[in-house]
Amino acid sequence: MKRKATAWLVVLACLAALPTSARAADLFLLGYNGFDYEDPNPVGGPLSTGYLALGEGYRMVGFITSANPAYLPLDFVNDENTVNVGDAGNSGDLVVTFRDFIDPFIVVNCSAGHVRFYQDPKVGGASNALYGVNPPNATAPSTFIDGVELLAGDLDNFSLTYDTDASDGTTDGSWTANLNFFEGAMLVFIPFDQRQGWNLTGQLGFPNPTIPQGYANQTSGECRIPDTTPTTVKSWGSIKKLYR
Amino acid sequence: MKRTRGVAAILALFAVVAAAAPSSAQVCSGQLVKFDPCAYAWETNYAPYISQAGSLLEFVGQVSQFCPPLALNALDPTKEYTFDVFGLSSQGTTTTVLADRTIYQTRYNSVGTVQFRIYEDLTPNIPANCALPANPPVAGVVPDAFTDGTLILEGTIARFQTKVTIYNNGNRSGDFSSTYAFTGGTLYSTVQACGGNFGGSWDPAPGIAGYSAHPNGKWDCPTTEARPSTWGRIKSLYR
Repeated sequence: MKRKATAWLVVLACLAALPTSARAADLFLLGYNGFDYEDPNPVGGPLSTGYLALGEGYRMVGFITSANPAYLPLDFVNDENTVNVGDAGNSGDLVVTFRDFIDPFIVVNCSAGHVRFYQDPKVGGASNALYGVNPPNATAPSTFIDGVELLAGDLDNFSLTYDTDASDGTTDGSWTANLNFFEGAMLVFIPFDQRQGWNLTGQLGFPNPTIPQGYANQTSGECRIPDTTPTTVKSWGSIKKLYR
Repeated sequence: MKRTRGVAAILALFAVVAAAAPSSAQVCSGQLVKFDPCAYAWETNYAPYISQAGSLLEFVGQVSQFCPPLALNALDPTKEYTFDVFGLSSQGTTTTVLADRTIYQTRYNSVGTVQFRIYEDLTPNIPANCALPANPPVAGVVPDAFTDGTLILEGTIARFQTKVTIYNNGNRSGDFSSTYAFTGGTLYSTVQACGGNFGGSWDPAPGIAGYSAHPNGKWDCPTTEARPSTWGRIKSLYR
């Protein structure tokens, strides 16, 4: 009898160790690409001292490239769907509050800020989004923040790590921030308990002929909101019951 | 019944059209092939976030957007555009520990004659919603379902590396970078002039057992910005 119980326990342990059926990873909200820049950007010079110096602001504009239709039913054929990180004209948004250079890495933390996503008809809309050069300029971010605000969120704990070593081909880095959505025309599609999450992006710096003059990096990333892992609380009693 | 099916079909079509990727020059901004939610990587000798020297990296995914000069619709429901990146051998991970974060950097050597292939499959067969089975490779699914169909593009990758940052507050971020060149495939002549950066974000916690990362990135094809002009202006340049 004891052997039987041991065998059952072994079987149970093996079952627990087996991977569960395939499941999607964290919940995907949208993917985007774009270019980032600094605003304000009073400190010039080499990356090691000039990129995102203390007091400078992180900004990014771009386009949504794909979306989870259950959460963001976007029309890519007729609309431009844009992203803007760091509120224009808000000098307190995503300002560098901590910076260190530990060769070859720049490590940065920023103050809280915002990300906003917009929808603007390609024909008859406010304007076509254009990067232009040396942002902020006449078209960026203004043409990325017109139209209907789809979603807006607070960015907290914004941290960036950047590798200035270009010997591998390019300088590059990534940033992360906690994102909580609080408004927007499509907020209604996101269940209340899934409006908190995090936001990631990759960056590719120089040399990179794709980057318009005056922008710092090309970005490609996505917004994911955490998936809850389903668990069931059980007592030893209820488990024993299963085998009686 | 027929009507219900018809409505369902129209709705499905609408959903596909709604999710179709944009393709204007500004939206593409120098990128050629983009992939977003459906991409997962694994290695032969890896434990978070350390890749042992000699560990082989591979990742598969589904294309979410094509840009000019490729005139393809990535979300055509009758087709499946997938890719496989392989032949990347780890040089080992170096770790940099800082006060509030730890940086894991891994460089890879390119092995073999090509390191990536992109396919067009007329019989879509990757798992729905990209819900991949755990612990790849899995016969018939990963990478097999991503490597069937017509080989439309293939090429080499150089200087591939990943950088992952784990923050003490529980956050994480990462990116991958490299350069690429096309060498073959049925659409090679269309993109022969392309080449450049292959990179994007690299999430080191993809949420499926056995996978090491979820990349989101693109192959670039840098374009030269054009400015509208008139024949008069052009003539004046030569007067």
